[in-house]
Amino acid sequence: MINHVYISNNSANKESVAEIIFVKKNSEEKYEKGIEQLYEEDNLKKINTSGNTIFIIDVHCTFKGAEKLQQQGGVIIYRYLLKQFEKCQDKLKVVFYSPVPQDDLVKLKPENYVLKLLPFIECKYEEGQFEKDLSDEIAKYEKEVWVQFNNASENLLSGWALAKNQSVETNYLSDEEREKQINEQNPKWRTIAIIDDQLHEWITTYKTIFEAKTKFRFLHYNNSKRTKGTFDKSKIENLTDPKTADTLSKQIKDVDLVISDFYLEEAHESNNWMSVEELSKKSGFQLFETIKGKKGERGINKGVPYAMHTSSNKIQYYKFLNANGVDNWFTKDIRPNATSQEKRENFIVFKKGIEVYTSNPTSELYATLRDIWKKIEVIETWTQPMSWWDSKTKKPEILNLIKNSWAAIRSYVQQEDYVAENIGSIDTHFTPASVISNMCKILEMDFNGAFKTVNHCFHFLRHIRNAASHYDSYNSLVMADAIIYLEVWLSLLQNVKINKASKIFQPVNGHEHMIHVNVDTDGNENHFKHQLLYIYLQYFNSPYSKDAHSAKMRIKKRINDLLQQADKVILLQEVLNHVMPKDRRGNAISGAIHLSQAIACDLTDDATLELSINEDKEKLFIMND
Amino acid sequence: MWGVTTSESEEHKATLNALQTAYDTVISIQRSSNKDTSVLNKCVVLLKHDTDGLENKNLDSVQWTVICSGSVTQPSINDTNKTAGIPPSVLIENLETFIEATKDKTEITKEDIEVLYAIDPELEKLLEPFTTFHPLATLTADLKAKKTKLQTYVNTKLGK
Repeated sequence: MINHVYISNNSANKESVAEIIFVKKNSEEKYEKGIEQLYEEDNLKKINTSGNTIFIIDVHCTFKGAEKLQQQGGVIIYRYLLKQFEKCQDKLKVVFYSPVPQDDLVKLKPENYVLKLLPFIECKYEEGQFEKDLSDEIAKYEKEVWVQFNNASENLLSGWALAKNQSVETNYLSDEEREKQINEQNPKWRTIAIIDDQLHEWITTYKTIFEAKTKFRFLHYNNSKRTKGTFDKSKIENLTDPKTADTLSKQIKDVDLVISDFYLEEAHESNNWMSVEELSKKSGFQLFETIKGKKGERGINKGVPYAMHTSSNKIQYYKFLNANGVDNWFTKDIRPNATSQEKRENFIVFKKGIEVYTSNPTSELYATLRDIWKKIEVIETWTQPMSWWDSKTKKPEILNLIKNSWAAIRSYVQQEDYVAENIGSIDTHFTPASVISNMCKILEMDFNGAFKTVNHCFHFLRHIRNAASHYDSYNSLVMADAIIYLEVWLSLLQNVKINKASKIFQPVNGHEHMIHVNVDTDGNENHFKHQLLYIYLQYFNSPYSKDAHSAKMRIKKRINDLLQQADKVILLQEVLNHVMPKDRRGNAISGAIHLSQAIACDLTDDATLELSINEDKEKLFIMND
Repeated sequence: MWGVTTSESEEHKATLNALQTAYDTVISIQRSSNKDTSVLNKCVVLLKHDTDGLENKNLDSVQWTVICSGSVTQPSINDTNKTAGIPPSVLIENLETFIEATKDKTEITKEDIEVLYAIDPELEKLLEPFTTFHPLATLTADLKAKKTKLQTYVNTKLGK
């Protein structure tokens, strides 16, 4: 038996089984009670939550605090119903009605956007129209499913509407793509895994506030399965594609961001403060460790950014999770009476926080780091020497250096720039230079003949390392350089075609190549002002860069950036007047090529002309436009 | 957020005056040719929400007490109680418009309050007939015409 309960301002009607009526209490037409008091003392808190009741709510209910019809007090009542049904939102069935169409109601009061998503009847005041529409609407939702929210998901939705429907962006456009016509752009769409035990209450909100093309993977943690109260990764079901019976590993291994609840098994936030030991036992943390791994356990996707979306706002908990590698923490505002201002601000914090991993330039860094970690894991899994360096003695040290470098870049990306700004230490160059110096310790290891004759690749590694090690050049390095450097090293370490250390830096046909730097008449190396640009160009144009595919893409962009920043007059002087290196006897060194030929093409000494990069047969050359 | 109504404006004036007095006194001591700066070491300005508990304090200091009013539980400003507080639910942009409109006034008008809550009096009037009508009750002849009038007004308001 389904009961219809009308919530309105006017008197009872014999056809309704029950009514909740808000009336003006005295002759001065003042309301005696506000919604919070009505919730605490009166009907709202005594409501049957069995799912047998359909609440039919006048959008324009009035009471103390919402005394005007256009304040749409019916939605405020709905928020208190959400609170009453907080453990059984699937049982809450609501139909709104108003003489104003729902789209117009939302335009008049954007924070009530939920009206657009819930069952609604526009009263047309024609005989039988309301009854018929009500019957149709109920039949429709009984057949399908009643749309679910909770206070937190409705608040976030409301905040989005108050922020003028600014979607959370989940696509990344590189600078090159931005320059194209909009219909020719090819953005990178990120895939986001959402894991929650109350996922049904969030799906409508997420689908509304994120960009329409967002690639979601809705993973429901079904805590009613198996042992109640015990975390079990097999309790996760894929709602995006319910037919898939994939393991959690398959669902998670390729996503760009995980947003997870913290309390998947436990009752939500209590007033007690938990110890670190208790926190580490919580289901949300166990899921985090399952995905990100822990000491001795690799995890499913260690490099993936991970954000907690939880009702907890206890900062010590965040501190604990932050120390364990959780990237961010978004608070679910579960209050039915959160103010419009608070809802809007909470949404903006959520949007900006998510976009760090999905659409900002930082999102590309996170994606790169995730891919790099996968490469590191491949190297780590080798059970027998596979490559020129893979001896039992050096492997742990090399892996440690590479992992440290990865962790340093990850920390750098995660840090808030303004903290460094506040103390007057903008860390733009320090960490990249440190990461490069750190990785170069591999060059100090004894590889039994690896450095006897060396090629462009070795020179490249050495010169970048030198740039990172000296005070007059380290500040030309940025994080893109550190990532390039890490990728070049990984391409060398992954090289299984060469299994002897003595061959890894061997020049083709034993003919030594070199990277030109500024050498004075006494044979001392001095720095060109644009040395980094020349080093990149010479390495890029050499045959030794061909295996470092992803690094080359990045080098190309870096070369263009460096050229844009270059001082044209000095650059022309350095390239065109390059002093060729000579041996001790004063003869030209074999294999040396003048910079104007190695990295430039028909360059003329005219600083009024723009400089650009010309690509010819997969080589890059500076030229005048 | 508080103190933009008439009475609270006065309250804030008093607050600012008390702070000004405290500041002037400190400055005059500092600038005095015969200054006794030792008194400054004992100066205390108390900013308090109300006067509760002040009598229990036995502070050995030169003391100015500035009472700041405002509480989330105080009544909200409306047509009949224009000296009450402004609820935190008011959007900042509405509050800014309200402050701009009322800063030189001695008395807040009904229209000012409507601005604060983004209330449209005409829309309110047009909605009124429907709130006393239960959707299952017998229809009256004029309701449909009133709905048309309401919709026409809403369309104009929304720029349709």
